[in-house]
Amino acid sequence: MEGPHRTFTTPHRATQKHGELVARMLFGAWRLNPPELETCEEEIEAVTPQLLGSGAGALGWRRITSSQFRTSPAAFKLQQAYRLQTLYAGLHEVEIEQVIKTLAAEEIEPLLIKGRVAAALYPELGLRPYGDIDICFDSGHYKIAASILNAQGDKGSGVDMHDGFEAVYGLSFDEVFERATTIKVGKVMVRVPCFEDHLRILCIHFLKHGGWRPLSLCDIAAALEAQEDIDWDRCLGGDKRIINWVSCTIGLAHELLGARVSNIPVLTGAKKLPRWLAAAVLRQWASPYPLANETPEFFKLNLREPAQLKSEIQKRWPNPIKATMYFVGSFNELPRLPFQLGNFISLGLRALGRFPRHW
Amino acid sequence: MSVLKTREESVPRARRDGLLVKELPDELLVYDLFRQKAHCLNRTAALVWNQCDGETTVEQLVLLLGKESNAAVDREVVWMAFDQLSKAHLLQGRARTWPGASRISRRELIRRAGAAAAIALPIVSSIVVPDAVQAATCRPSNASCTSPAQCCSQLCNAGHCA
Repeated sequence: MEGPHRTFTTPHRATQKHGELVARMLFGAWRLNPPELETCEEEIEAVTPQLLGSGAGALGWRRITSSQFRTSPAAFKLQQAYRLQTLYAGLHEVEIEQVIKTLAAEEIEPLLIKGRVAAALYPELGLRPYGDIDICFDSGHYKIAASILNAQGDKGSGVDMHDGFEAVYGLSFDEVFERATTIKVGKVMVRVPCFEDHLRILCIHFLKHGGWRPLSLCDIAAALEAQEDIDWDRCLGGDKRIINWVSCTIGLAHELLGARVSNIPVLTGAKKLPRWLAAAVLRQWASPYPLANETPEFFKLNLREPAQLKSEIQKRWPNPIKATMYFVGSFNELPRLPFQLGNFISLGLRALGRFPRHW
Repeated sequence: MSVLKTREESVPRARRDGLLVKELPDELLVYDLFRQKAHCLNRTAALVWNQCDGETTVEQLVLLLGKESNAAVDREVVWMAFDQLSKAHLLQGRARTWPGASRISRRELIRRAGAAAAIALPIVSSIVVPDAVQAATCRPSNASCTSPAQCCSQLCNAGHCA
């Protein structure tokens, strides 16, 4: 899986091995009957921090619940995560219900996306944790909704608001809204994008964040196996770049997590994944923690300490997936270095307030 | 007066308000919305808690538990359950030690009735965020946060990581 091109951060085999362990633990974990796990207690112990830290603890527990390792100390930690997530799923139902009701009182109907919608793809809601309530508005309602939710204080603080889909996902809000369906959350019916639109959103979201979160790829794998008759024309649209992004993400879900894709025609692209891509994701998965994947502020770069300069630059060096997405590039065999370099420079310049932001 | 007191201690009422309850195949999960604490009740503790209606007698509970575990159950098992449920604030009234529970130790109960009784022993355990995330750079439980993504648990409640 090693890429043919050297990136600034040389791929480290040990790091990638940790990522491979994460992938192995999550292989098929979203299924009603996950496949048998071939591992040892030491490996489970080694990968537990990554699973817990990335919100995949409950899925990890699901993989080992019917194995001989279910009574190991690591298994107990994963089980605790599963229990907590199960309870929090119940709490979130109430929170979402409140937010939707508050907005409905002002005649605003948003689209719920990501977390809770993705959680519905799993056998139990508690298997897929979500903190924020991701809701999307059309531009006309975005500011009004923001002021309504801000006025709610703490109750509105867990809402991650999105102004349409156009900029990031290449989708018109009105069209997504028109095609939308509904799901029941608590006692209310909530509008969510149709399956195909949401799959596109999940795929692009995964890449946009540099592929650091294994749980996000599990969402895509679970979606691919949840519905047989996917309308691929609707999911992919006509944009070649979107087709490239979605098919590569599906290819990753297949290659790294074993998502079943035999009936997916778009996979001609997905089967030919750029050689560097899976390795780049696995390197991210070796340290799948939110803060580890935040780029430190550029203005804190200490130029007076030359000895530390290399490590400081490394900390800020963009991962090849993120850099590609930053420049709305395609995933192919071409070297990622120009993307990474360009991303690094533009982030630096942006820190100086000189460069417009892409996303 | 003493009859009333005995009756009160025999059949406490379960607290139901401010709790979120989720049933799993082998256990019951309870989240205390007031104290923001999560508990896990094993089958015996869950069975006792669900029967805490202020009317069921200890004798009835003993019979029920015996039927459930297919073994003879000591009445001290019920006291032990009350004791643990009370300490977890899952019974109405103040948390307290149930006199019956202190008369006998868990070890003694197991010894007395053998392995079959061990299955029936009630357990109410707290669910805490695992500490295995020390290697992570995400924020641990109780650390301040502004977004769930910052927390190892992925949950930011009222400015603090769960």
